[in-house]
Amino acid sequence: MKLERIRKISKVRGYLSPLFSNNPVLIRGLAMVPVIVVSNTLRNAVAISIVIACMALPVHLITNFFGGKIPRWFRIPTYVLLSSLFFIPAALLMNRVVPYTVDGLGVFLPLLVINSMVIGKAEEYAVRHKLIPVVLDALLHIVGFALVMCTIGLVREFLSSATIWGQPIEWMNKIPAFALPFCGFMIVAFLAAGAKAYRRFTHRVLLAAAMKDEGE
Amino acid sequence: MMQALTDFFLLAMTAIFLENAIFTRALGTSRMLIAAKRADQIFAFGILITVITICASIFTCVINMLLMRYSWWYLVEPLCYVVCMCIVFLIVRYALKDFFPGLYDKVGQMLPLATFNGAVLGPLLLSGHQGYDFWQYLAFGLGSGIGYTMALLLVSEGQRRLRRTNLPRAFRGLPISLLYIGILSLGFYGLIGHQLPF
Amino acid sequence: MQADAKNKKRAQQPGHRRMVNVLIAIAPILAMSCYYYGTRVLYMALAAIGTGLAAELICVKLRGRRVELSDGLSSVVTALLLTMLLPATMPMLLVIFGVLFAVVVIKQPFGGYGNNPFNPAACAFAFLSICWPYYTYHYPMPFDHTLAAWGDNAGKLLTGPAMSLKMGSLPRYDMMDMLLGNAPGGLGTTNILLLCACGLFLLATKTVKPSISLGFLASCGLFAFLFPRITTSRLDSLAYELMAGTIVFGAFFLITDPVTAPKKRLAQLVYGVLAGVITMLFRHFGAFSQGLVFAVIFANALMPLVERGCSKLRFGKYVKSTPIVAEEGAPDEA
Repeated sequence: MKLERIRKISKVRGYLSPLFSNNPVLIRGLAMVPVIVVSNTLRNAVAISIVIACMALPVHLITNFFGGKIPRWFRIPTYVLLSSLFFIPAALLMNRVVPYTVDGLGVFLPLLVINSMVIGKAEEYAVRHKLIPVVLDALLHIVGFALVMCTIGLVREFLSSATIWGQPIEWMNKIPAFALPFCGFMIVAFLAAGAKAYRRFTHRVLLAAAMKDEGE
Repeated sequence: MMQALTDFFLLAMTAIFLENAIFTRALGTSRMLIAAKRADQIFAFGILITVITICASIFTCVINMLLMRYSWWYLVEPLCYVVCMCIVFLIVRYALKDFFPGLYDKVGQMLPLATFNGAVLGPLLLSGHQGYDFWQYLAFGLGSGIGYTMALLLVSEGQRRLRRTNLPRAFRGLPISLLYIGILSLGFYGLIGHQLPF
Repeated sequence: MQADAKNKKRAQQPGHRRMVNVLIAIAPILAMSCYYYGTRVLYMALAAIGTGLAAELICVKLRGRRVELSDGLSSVVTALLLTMLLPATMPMLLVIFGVLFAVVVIKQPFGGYGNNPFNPAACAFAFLSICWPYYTYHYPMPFDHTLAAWGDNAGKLLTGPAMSLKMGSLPRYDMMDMLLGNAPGGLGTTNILLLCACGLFLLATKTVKPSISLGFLASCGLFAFLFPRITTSRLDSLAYELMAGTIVFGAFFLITDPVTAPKKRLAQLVYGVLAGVITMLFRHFGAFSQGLVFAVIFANALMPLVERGCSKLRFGKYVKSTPIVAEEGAPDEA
């Protein structure tokens, strides 16, 4: 493979990294509270993803415009206030798309307001960079989060209540204990290890190809 | 009077062990894994969280009692609670800056992180959803803060021990911390025995 | 280099010898449970050992290390310890799941033999008792040789003495029965006399440290004497609490695991006493009738604190704890 092509692949891989190799939940450890506790059914997972998507994008956009003007010590309170303002339309949209999930989510729905993917990333990324990279970055992080959340939701719902999206499956015996947080911790731990191994593997493949090309 | 004290104590004990913030509800986990590592830093962080939870409980208890019965409450709830937390944040910040400047130098960096944290907002929301009265709010907040500090100490102890072993490469860092907390959560479930309400 | 390899081999020998001694101690218990429950026990043990060895082999290869004797021996020990804790009617599939959990989740991700912070057999039993509590806490009557090896044994199950104690009533079996193992319970945890004999063997061969076992038993006994759950007499409470459930088994096999126990004598004593107190607290306030396995998890987690505290007590101001520099996440990423 030519070195130019490898460089291009690396660049694209860098842009798309929030999906797999730099996944916000598995590699960077953001937004773990909902992933660990409330991912026990697919409906909950989809609901949380919708709310986070509708909160993260506006908050990152606004902080990109005005973030630099706020004194440093008051930035995080501002972001949290903004995200709780955008929580209102987000929760309404969620109710429209997946109704009757508010009670099932309980405390963890309002807790999304201080979620580190909304707040922490705003402070870390959205304030300092230009508009288009910020929007792309936010979108990719949201998709990466949604991928992990829905996968775990599917697996845990299948194992713990033998249903998928509420439709029961006859041939499976349910194990209710898998809806508990300890199972969430362990599943996320193993998925994170898998993501790390995948990242190392692809990096080594690219590096080997680059060195082979350089040697030629 | 004795009965009230016993109830207070029992609720605080429940919040520490049976409804531990980290091991049963994974509150405050994201920041925790990059937060303080030394024992005195953890104590400072924990005390800060307990104090802020208790102060914020005073405001949120009142708001909750006034607005709990409306159907749109779930939409506006985070905003109201966050406003209370902002007020407490400002009060604590200015109190520390004016009256204890030495203390402010040490803990000032941690203050935004400690205020807008799942371990603070979580107990406030939980007490609100379960309709506690004023003293129960305080008991639950106090117990939750203490339980969070103890859990942080346990986890940091475990991470210190894990640093000395030769872990497989895929598990170093985040995955093994999560697995360690998961096993401890398994142990805590032996105390509870049933699914906690969300 | 050669001196290094020889020293390493010499350091590993005690580990091998210890595990072989534990296997020797388990053998009569296994034989006794075959006498009580028939050939199903052998099938369970074989299934557990096979799964443990296969899982260990695959995981060590995945980690990229060479398979060594200590890996194999330790997985056999874990498999047999877990089997001894379970009832004779545990479905085979669940035994296999338990052993897989012990090896793949509790032991290998931390680096394999010698590096696991938690006891694999105890954690696997905790996992099984949370996910399938009916199968884990209901036992058949001993001397019932009609247990089907692969089929469903659900018709013959009773609860054990530990559950009676949890309800606050005297167990239905008198003390002689419980000493000789005529009461329902886990495979290896009922015959207290045999367990004590094997425990004495382990103590005599210096495989387990007396500070841990005896400290644990003493603190459990004292707690049972001071806070009885049954109303007849304190001595009754002492005897029944010690004989019902997995306390004696845990004292000699689970708590004393050298990988997860402290190294110095004072720390070992404190560790044993702490584990005993936590066990009895779990028995009183916990959700399950037997609290030992959950208490083992907590005792293992608190072990570094105990060790540091005790060494500070001994050496006082000469031991300074070095502050750990905070690391960023993912320190080894290429």
